[in-house]
Amino acid sequence: MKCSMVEPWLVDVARGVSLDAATLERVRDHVRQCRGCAARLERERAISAALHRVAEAMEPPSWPPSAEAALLDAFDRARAEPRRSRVWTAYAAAAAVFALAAALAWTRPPAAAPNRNPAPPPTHRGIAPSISAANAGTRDAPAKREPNRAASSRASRPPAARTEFISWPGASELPAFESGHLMRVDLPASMALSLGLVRSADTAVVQADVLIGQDGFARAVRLAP
Amino acid sequence: MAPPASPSDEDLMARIADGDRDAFAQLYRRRRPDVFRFAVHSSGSRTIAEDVTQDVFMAVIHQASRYQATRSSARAWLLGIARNHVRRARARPAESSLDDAGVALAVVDGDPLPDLARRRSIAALQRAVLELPPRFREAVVLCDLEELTYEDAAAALGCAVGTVRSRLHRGRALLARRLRTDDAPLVHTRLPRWIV
Repeated sequence: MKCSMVEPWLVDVARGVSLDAATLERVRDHVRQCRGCAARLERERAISAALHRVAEAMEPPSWPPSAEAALLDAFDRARAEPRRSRVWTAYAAAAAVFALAAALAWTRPPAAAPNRNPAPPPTHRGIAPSISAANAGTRDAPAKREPNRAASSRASRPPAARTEFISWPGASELPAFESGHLMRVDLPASMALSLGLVRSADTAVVQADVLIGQDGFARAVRLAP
Repeated sequence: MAPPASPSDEDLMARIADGDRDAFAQLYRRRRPDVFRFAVHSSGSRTIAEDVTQDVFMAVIHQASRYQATRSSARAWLLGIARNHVRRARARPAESSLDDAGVALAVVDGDPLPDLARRRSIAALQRAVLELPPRFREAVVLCDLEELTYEDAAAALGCAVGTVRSRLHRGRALLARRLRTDDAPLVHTRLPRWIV
């Protein structure tokens, strides 16, 4: 066996890394016959022993209690912060949804939409199993529904309405859905048509639930049940 | 009745991600010395090491949910974070001087080793480790001083196992060369001729 074939294993042998028996035997045989590799192995052993002593010589400092206390305070603060950030995320998501809805309403005239009669889009993969969790996590959803009852009287409930969730355009390219919130919004009828939520609409707005993911992006939408 | 087994680091990480304050305190007390030791050996500065140790556990507070037990041990994950913080700290001009090595050596000097020659050889080796290029130094510190497996070291460094092995071999070769030129013997003990 050549030295070059043994060399990669010399450091492992010196460091005490467990090798398979056949490899270890080959290294042993070679080292017994090769003074150069024997010297190299001896040197590697010496380095390992010396480094081991360096590791042992390092005594950690005596930690001041204030260091741990500061971290535990930070831990408590961090646990309190997500609630606030979730609220802000919800506000930001709502603003994004309304901005998108307004943009779509501006670019797509409602009169042209009913003729398209789009086929129902596929349900967003990965969303469906999470929707119940999202609903469960929406503690403030009932409070939001009450004020919208007035709006629902002016919003149409067309026939053939889609009350199951459908994917939000582009949502499949977002990171995996982990958790989210439901947000009830008044969608422009043209947008509801283009999303495939309704096949026709005779009112200006349609009430819908938008599922907002953990990153604040809309993932799915359904007609408000 | 047998005492309850101590939870693993990975269990503690999962509990921390769920907001368990006690789990965080437990992990901090358990792994603080490892992180500090790694930071001292990597930076040569006790001051940097203390800051890095705090920074690492601040990162745990905010990023515990990102830890994946299937990818690496929690210890390797912590040392990977420490490595990034050490790199940043050493990149700052005021703290990148080799004079910092003296701070680390002061830690060694504080250890009551009876044999002066032994202390000198340890100090020389510690200085030699600090003078290694960072990629080799990290491999040596993780594998030889912290005794991580190749797989965990690779996870901490964000590279392949083969890369860790080659960096470690190269780092050790540089160490041996440097110590020979410094005329600082690695060890004074007689090693057996037929070691394996």
